[in-house]
Amino acid sequence: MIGTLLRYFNLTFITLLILVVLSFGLGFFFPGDTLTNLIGEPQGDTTGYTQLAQAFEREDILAQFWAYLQTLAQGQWGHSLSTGLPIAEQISQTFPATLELSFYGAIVSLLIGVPCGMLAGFQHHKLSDYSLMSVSMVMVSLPVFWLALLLILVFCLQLQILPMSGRLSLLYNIDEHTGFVIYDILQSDVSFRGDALLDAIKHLILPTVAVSFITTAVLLRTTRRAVVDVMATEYIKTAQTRGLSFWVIFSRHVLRNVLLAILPLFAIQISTLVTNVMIVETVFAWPGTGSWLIQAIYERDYPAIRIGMLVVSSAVVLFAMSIECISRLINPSRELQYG
Amino acid sequence: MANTNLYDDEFHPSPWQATWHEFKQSHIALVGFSILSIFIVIGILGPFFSPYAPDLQNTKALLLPPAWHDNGAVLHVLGTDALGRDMLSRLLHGIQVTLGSSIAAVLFAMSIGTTLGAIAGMTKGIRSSIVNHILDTFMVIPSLLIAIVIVAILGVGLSNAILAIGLALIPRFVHATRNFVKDEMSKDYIQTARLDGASSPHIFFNNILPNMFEVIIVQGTLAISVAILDIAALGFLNLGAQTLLPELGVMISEGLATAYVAPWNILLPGLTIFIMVLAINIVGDGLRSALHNRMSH
Repeated sequence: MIGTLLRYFNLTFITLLILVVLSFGLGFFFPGDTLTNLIGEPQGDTTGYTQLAQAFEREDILAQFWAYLQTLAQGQWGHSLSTGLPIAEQISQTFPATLELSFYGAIVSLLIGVPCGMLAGFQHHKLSDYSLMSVSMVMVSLPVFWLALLLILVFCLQLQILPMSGRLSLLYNIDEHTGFVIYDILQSDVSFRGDALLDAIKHLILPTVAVSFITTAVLLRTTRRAVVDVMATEYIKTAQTRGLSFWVIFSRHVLRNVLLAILPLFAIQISTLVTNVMIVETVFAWPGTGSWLIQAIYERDYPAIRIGMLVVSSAVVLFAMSIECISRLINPSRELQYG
Repeated sequence: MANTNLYDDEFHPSPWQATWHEFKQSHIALVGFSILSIFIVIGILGPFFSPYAPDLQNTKALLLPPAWHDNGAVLHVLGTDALGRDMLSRLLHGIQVTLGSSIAAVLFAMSIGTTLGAIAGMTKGIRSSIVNHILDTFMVIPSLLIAIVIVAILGVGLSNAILAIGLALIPRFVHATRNFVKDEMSKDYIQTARLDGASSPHIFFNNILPNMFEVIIVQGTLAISVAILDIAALGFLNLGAQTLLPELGVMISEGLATAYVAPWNILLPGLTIFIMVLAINIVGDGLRSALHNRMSH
């Protein structure tokens, strides 16, 4: 147990270190002055960067990297080239929105994908299996930006029942404490709390559907595969021979083993989910890190791209590694994936 | 020449024939295969069929609806866009650009990924561990982020988008190859070859590679569908192919400005991408289960 924890802690640490080195290297690869790429153009206050600037005068790459690590640790993430604002502040404003959308997307795909996959798995090679598999095949093949546009065309422009962009109508003025819109509304004590909540949920529906489409389909397929594999094992046959009822077999044997099998595969799906979230954010003008990052690339805002890449990929690594670690702790017998 | 196989009353199909035989069993897979073949033919010959040049503007027919619409005209079967360019011609050219660049990206990723995977699978110890760590790091970075970084370094353009998508696709080939090679290395026939004194490169090229082709082809087919979606997404976000090139994602983002009055300008390119990716996914899936069935028989 402690060995596993240590091993995953080590693995996460090394991975994050590689990511930091990469982001440091990007300062050299991006066009323009390396120091400017690393710290941007701070207006007035440059106290946090004196050490980094000194290290660059000495041209000692290890000292530069060390100073860079220190600025990162102090939260001095540089200043945007286009707005001059501190990037750390912008990330802390946009990141909760991205986290929120990804979280709901993941929840919806788990809630729909896993039960449907179970159904398909139990009805292996029957009509409902084939139809669910066909539906999931169609869902996987849809380009996510096109799907988002179709949803906007149908539900916002034709039927006019759902809002098109943003997180909350401008009519509702909710103070931001955490950045998670639903939580903020529930915490606030304004008279229009119910209306604001309804509005926020309406804004959430279309982006969440667009984000969760592909993940749902992939989860459905993995769950079905896992159910079919588990049902073919000896211990299920033994249980069946002993005359246990379907529900007993399902709850005691099938459910646990299937969930164990899909947990690590879900970890791999996180990076796909994040790519889709970034695209969907852009289409729906969702004020998250993804659309902020894509705006940064249009403006060639190199410090912002560097930090955005570092933050988003670190978050993906942390989530993926924790899920991997949990699944390993629950089921130590699983074959070692990282040789 | 006389048929000397008179007494061979049993027919032994080659592995490829056996796979094709299993593949044929599924009607859906065959339909997907025919659609994919049509797309490939269009991809190669499309520009010869197209009635107009993709950038020829007919200023007398802006935003013309498709021919089946009341206001449509047979002159432009699938209508025109906001600049009066013929949609059908643009789609025919767009299939070539999108499908071609996806295949290029996959071939790039395949050649590097299989090499790295073979090295990672055949070596043991610290070297293998380092390669695996770095690859797993790249595996978790979302493909769009890799593309954004590449575009930031090299600038926008279709060739940079191909490079970026290719880089993002490498890990899946490495994983598939690495796992396959590791499994194969522990089998008896490899041990026998080793006892015969065969060197590692010899074992790889003569024993493992012939068995690996099919795994790689299945992975490659599925990777093409991912590559199409990613290249179109980059084009849509204005980070890949640029406005002048009739790439399907770019066409969708151009149609966005007139989406309300002329929805076919975003529906048709999107539908093309969708059908193309669907056909590839069906073929890849069929191929995978055909291989699975052949192995289990």
